[in-house]
Amino acid sequence: MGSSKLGADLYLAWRAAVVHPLRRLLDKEPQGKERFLANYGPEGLVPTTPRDKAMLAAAGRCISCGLCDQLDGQLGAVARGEYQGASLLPRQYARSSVELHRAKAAIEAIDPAAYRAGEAVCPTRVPLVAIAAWLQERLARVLSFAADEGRRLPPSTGC
Amino acid sequence: MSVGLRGRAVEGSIRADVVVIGGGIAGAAAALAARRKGRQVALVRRAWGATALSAGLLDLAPDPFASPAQPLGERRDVRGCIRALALRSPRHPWSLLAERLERLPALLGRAAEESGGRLRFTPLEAENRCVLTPLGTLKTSAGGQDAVLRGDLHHGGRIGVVGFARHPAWDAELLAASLAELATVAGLRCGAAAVPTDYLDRIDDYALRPLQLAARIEKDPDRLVQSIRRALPPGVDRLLLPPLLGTDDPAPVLAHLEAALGLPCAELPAASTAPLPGLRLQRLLEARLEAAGVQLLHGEATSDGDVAGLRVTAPLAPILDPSHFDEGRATAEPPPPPSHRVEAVAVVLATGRYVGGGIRRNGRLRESVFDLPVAIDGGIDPGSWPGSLTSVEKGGEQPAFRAGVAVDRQLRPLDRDGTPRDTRLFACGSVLAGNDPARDGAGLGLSWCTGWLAGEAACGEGG
Repeated sequence: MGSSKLGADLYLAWRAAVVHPLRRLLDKEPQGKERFLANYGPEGLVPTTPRDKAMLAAAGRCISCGLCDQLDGQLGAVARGEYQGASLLPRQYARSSVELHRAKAAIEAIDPAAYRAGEAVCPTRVPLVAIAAWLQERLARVLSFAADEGRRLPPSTGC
Repeated sequence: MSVGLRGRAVEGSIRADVVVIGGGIAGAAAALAARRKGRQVALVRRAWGATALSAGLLDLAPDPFASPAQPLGERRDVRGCIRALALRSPRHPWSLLAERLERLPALLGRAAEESGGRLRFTPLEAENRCVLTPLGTLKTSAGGQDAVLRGDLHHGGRIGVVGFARHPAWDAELLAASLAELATVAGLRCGAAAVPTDYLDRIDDYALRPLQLAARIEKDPDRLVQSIRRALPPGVDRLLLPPLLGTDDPAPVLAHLEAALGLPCAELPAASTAPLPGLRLQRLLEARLEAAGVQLLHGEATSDGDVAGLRVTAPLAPILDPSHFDEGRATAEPPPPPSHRVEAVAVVLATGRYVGGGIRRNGRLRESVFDLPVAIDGGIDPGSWPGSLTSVEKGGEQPAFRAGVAVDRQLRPLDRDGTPRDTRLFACGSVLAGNDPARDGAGLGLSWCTGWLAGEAACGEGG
């Protein structure tokens, strides 16, 4: 028992002190952020930037009252099955970059400036115009990581 | 419905006789009251609030003995209901205004007048109206929008509840069954019949938003008439319809339906699935304010603590402007938005409670503009409230719902020592302490009355 533990410890020490440092020096595999992106970018999981955090905090102020939906200039401009109102921006689309590509048809079709009227009446001042522009930019980031890896995200299913 | 927030963003200092902060029904009443006195009035609001989300009813007080087993209670008259509420809750605004209750008919008359007849109230000597809600419950109220109050169940008869097949929110069978059961419990002499129409015939029509449905009905009400005719059972005396009869004023569509079907028609009050009555009320008030010459401004108010220190800023600070981020990293703190001075003889605080943003809780409860002390049941939040402010128990105590600014009989907000913070400052509506709208049943009707009185007080009258 004692000798096998000693053997295991020596093996771990060998791996930590020699093998891993050498591999890091010689290996051409990307490290850090690049490796993260290589692993998760194709799935739509992109790094969260300070701007993303600011937007998510702003989207979190939504109380789902639906007032912005009543002044939504996009209704009718985007296919009904793809898009059901401005309140989806902070409540649903902003939630997860992994699922964002499913709303591709809606997000690419919306015009951020069309949310000014809805934004003005929001009781909690959710910045819909900024969130719409950010979602378009975030979607482009998600899609570009997937494209860089030559992988296709699952098709949009409507939302 | 294209008109959102009316007026313009704050761009410079504001000078007016009376400045109202808050644009819900209380703020609108205060502004209109001051305009009637010939004052120059500016109304500053951040956004829409609870009025735009309301049911379209203006309730004053429910029957004190109303309960699920006896929904209409003892069927007292409205005046008796208000007095009972004032007696039961000594810190309720009705209790504070007890000496001025004789002015109520005049105040409610102003609401009807200012709305061009779209708002109306039952006489104080009569009992509350009773309407079916889209949730299948009964709601009593002394006043509200005409299209909703037409559905008063006291009219009796066999009521056809119109719904849309394929639409989960408007199940005619379910609503009619609820109405039949509740009418029996409440002792109302009315029957119920389902009118499940095929108005929504496309497979994706369920996804239509209330506004789109309302626009469709407004454009071609005959199509709705035809689908109702196909589903209408014999012997129906009147119809209750979803609150979707037009995007603005439902009166033209109602008149069309009544003429075509030969039956009295009414709308149900608003629900989360169809918030149009609340939205219509908000837009009606804003249109009336604009027509009355009230300066409507979009902005946020802050103060050092009194009327002299009141300032306003433009509504949306550019904190999320992409120019403040370089490749996603924050580069600099955005500059604070410019704030502008307010010069006013008097200020009316009508900022509402939690939805309107008049009361906030960030560690302690605080009033958001003047940092007035927030009172619950006579106590003032010392920093962290002892005990829970909310309860998950059905019928449990909800002290948070009664939180607000304590005022004297002239509606002047009180400081911690019980004296008015500023003799030129008045408060009204949901920001007032003591009214729990869920438990006390006094909502927009109370807000209108306190708003009007605060507006008059700001002009140096009343009290």
